[in-house]
Amino acid sequence: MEYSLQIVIDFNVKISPGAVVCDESEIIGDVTIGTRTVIHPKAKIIAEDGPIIIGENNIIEELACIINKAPATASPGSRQVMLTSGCIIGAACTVTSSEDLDENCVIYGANCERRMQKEHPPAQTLQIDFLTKILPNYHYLKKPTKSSTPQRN
Amino acid sequence: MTGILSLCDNKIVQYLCACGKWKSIYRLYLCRHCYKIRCGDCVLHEVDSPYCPNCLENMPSAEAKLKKNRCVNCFDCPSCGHTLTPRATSQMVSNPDDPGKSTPKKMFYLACGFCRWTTRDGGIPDKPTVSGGWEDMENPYAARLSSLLEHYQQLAQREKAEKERKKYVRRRSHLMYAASMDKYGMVSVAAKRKGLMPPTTGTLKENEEVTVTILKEPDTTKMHQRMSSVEFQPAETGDLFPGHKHLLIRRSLRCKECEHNLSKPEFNPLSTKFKIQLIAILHIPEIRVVPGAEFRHKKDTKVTLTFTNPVNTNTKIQFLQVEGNAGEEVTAKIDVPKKELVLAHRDDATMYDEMSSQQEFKDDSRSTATTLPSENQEQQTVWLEHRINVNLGTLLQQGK
Amino acid sequence: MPLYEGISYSSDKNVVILDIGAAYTKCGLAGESCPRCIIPSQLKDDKTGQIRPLWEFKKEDELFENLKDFLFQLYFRHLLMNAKDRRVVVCESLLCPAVFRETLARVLFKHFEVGSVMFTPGHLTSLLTLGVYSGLVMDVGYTETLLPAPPPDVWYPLDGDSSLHVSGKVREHACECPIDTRVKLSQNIVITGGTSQLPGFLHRVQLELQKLLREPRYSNILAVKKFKYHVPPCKANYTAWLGGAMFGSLETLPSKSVSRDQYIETGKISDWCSLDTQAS
Repeated sequence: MEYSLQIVIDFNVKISPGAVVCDESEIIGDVTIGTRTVIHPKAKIIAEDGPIIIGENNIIEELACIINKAPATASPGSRQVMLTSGCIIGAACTVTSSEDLDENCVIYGANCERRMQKEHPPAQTLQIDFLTKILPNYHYLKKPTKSSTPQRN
Repeated sequence: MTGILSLCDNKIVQYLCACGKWKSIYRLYLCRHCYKIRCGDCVLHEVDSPYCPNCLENMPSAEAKLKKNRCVNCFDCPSCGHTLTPRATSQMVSNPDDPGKSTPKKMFYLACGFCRWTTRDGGIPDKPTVSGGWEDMENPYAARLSSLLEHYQQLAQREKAEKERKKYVRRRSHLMYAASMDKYGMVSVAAKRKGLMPPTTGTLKENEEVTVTILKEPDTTKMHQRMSSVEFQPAETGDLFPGHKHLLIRRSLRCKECEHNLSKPEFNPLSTKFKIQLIAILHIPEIRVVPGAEFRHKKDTKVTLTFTNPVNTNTKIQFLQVEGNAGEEVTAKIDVPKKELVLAHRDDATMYDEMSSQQEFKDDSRSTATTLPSENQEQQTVWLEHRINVNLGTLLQQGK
Repeated sequence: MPLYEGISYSSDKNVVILDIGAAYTKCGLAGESCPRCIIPSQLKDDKTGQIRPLWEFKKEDELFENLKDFLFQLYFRHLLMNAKDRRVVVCESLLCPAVFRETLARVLFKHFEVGSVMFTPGHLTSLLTLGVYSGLVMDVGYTETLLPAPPPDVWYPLDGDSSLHVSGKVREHACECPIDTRVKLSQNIVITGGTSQLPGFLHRVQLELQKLLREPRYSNILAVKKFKYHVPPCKANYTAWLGGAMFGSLETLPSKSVSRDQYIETGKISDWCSLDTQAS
């Protein structure tokens, strides 16, 4: 399946106020993005066979891929990808499994290695503050969806 | 041409190194003193100057040895190997004058920008200064090891002393024997008094009951994480500990025959220059084959070669027919030009050789050509003979 | 090389201790308490980027090239020191293939021009770390478990469907030994090798041994009631290396090793069993 390279504005995407979502990112389908989450340019979040719920204080870096797509062989069931909070999906890492990532989970490196951070580091909020300030200087941001946004049918 | 790497591994034109290996000219050196081509396999590599790849500071080799080749200031992430960077936070510290109030104080910890590991994950308290004073862990067996080593050293000295004694007993008088014993006198006497039982206490145990705790995958360390701190090899991610960054070195190369330097880098790690660099490409004409020649069975073919003169003087080139040496594959009859060629000196202004000329090779399939470039040096002229293997291509299939 | 390096350090220092294992290579300097590095025994191909194991070779020339590249990496990336005229101690397995040790000697002497090489059995050096003179050393390595005696019988279940095939040799070996050494050996078991670092491994070995002791086959002939294990002053995967590092720091090293002159003269390395005869 190929996705259009253009930015897809999908009414199902719900972005909470306080989230930083770069306009160059590709977000398709039933995606919910919590507050103080940062989505870098060229990240891909594609909810095809179920919702993707991204909680608060997550960072999704450049070229990261979060795809909710059932394998062709599997019967379509209830799939859901959920990032709870404080998760970091490193640059060019992928998450394709149907799972709930634990809090403070870091995915990094070419082999998508995982580690858990012991504490919810204050540095992460500092970084979000920093990114909130710096990203609008170089990128257009997607506006948070207002409460009047049409809900998914 | 698909980039520099393919050029360096040029399989088309290969020069014969003095050690008998065929290499591309980019991989070769020219010893100015023995006038021989050398390659990476037949020169002596030497450690020149250690430096830290992160802070790019030079460390004298004596100090590097003392520090076990590790940088004092830079740390590696024990989780992924990336360099750690110090981060500042403010912490509330209770004021000693007024216990009721607390004042903010700047504290520092180390964090990895790649996998987000922090010293806090390792349970290491924050430090009040940037450079930290991050303690190193102690080897828990250090005392036991040193007492063992001492014991063996005594044994070794005794063995050596006995050997010496035997030597002297055989040859010389008892007077000399006494003198020889005195050499090791105090030490060996002390060793005798101590007795020579090794310190083995506390090494035996029966296997106690092991409570096997089931570790979740993210909690267990990976092999590379364990091996990054050899001494402690932490099994759980909570025990990871930052390690000092390992130094790198600049190498210098030396000709094994005349022991002159072939390559010696500048001391400063930031500099990309060399004090001495006798690489072949700066002294020997480079040969390239102009592509496009088609070889047919029993037909003459012209092959164009280009020569580049790297030196600042004119270079004469003469071609010699290669005598069919054993082990070399010659699959074509070649007519090499009889005439001596002159390559104009390198002109930095134009970067082109004015007089680079074309040679004609009558050839009908893959061939081995040998040329004899020569080199002009100041004052004296030196003729160098090089054996060069040129792979011109394959024979076209008949009927094409 | 800076000239002062040769002066400020006596030639007896900077002895390199090498333990080239099937999976990991331990490398460091004599007199130190742990190796400078433990790296996988493998090479990365410059051109293709493929990783190939050091021990995988078809011809001797190939092994020569492998070892040359591997030792180059050890000297100039990890130890950061010159090879020429320095001493080397190689901790090797008793059953190390002859072609490997000969090629290694050739690389060290001919290519790197080291001063001297001593080949020493890893089992022996393991005992050196404990200060005992006799013991039963069981080296649980990557591909093989080595005791100087033949075949097997214990399965160590790893998670999933792979199991690790281990020992049984301890008891067999103990049976073959002269009766008066059996007790001593059973009281002085040393288990080394990286695989023995698996959690619960030692516990499992102990349980197996105790179970076997109760079986009539062994209880009748063995006077052994208990097994005791040594705890080496290091991690199990570099015990043999540590012993080598201790040996390498001793004054007697030159008399036990083969010098380059000797090697060039005779062109061969004598086997470990004849080490005594050739030591000068």
